Amino acid sequence: MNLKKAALLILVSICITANAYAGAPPITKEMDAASLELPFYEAEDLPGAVSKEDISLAASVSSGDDLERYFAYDLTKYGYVAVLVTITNNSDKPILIHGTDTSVEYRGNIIRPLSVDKVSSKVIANVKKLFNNTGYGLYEVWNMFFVRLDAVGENFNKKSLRHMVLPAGDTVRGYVFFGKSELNRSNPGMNLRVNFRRIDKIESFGLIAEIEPDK
Amino acid sequence: MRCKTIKSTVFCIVACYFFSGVSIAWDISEFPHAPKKKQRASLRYQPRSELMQKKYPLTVGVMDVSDKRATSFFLAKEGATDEFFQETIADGISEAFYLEMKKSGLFEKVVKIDETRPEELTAGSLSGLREQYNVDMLVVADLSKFNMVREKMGGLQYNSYITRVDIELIAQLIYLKAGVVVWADVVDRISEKHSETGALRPGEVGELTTSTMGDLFSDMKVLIAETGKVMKVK
Repeated sequence: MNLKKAALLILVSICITANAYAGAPPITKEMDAASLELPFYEAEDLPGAVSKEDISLAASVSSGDDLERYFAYDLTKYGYVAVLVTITNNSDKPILIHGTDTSVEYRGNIIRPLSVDKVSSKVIANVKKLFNNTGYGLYEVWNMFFVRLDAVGENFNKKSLRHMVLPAGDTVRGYVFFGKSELNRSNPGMNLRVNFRRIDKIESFGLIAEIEPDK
Repeated sequence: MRCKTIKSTVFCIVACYFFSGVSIAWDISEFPHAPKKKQRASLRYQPRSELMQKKYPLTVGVMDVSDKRATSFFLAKEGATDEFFQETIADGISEAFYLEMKKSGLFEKVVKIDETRPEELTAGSLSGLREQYNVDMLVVADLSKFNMVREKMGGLQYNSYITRVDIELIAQLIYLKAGVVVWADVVDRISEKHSETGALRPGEVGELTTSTMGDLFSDMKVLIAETGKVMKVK
């Protein structure tokens, strides 16, 4: 009789634990990466920085390790080159950054960045492909416990360079992505162009900085 | 007897885990898809009746909102997509922008300018618009964010979600004759809704999005009224 009571007690506690476990979404590597902020540097303190009208711009190619740290996946293995752009506004007015209209000039060619959606969707498709072979249901369970699509999307959204207003005195850092076939990560002489506009003005102006290659 | 109890206990444990697993699988099987075309909500809504004091007794032209987002509306099961509404996002927000300005009471007259905005506004392009549409001012806006995120809640609420819509517009009001920006600002609104099911209902998304747009435009109108430069028209 006592044994039955003990078994019942164990069963009830297991039920509660199982439900609590099922309820708490586990911390995954995507969530870890999403919680990591890019380290703070002012643009003028970085190598290759250029300045015009109190706006500073610096750009560098990120290593595979850095990308794994900040995006949970080494994007170089997916065929991408990620350029980390740092902009500091030392003027006394907010500036508009045309973050979605950047380009790279290399040996007379203009290279446009890839859309962030394309990069994030390819990462997700690759993770799916890996587990789809084991059956749809199993992928869903795997997805629940080990992959967080929402965290992947939100992270790309947060860490990409976007069209935004940068307040006076502030710095922003964000990624732009290029195809590996179009941009070589270790080439010197690649120039990134970003356009700006003071929020109280109509005309825009551009700034060009040489991208620090990945050594 | 003891053996029988152990067996039944083990059976119960396995059954328990099995049903937990089934409930998880059921829950995540509803990880959202973008809605089918016939089920999509509209971005059209009636502007709130909050008539404001006339700030600029002039005719203002409203241009379509320029879509400058870095990412699509939602990362759904089939990938990043904007296909949640009957209209395209750029058309939906442009129409709302025009209606909100028209109903604001801030201007004497509001005219819709059905023309693609040039990539770069210059003194020449502005004077051309002034003459062609007979407007004194121009209001332009860039859509820098229009995104939705769905976050699974923790703890025992395993089938609960927070749906969050984030919209940001960067807008300028330009006095065309002098080529002066009389008001410029970033207007950002985030709204969220708690949902008890894993399914993403198009009506819920539509309601949350249009109410966020309404809040954002209310903020914009207040900002124009409060912080727009005061002009003396001769």
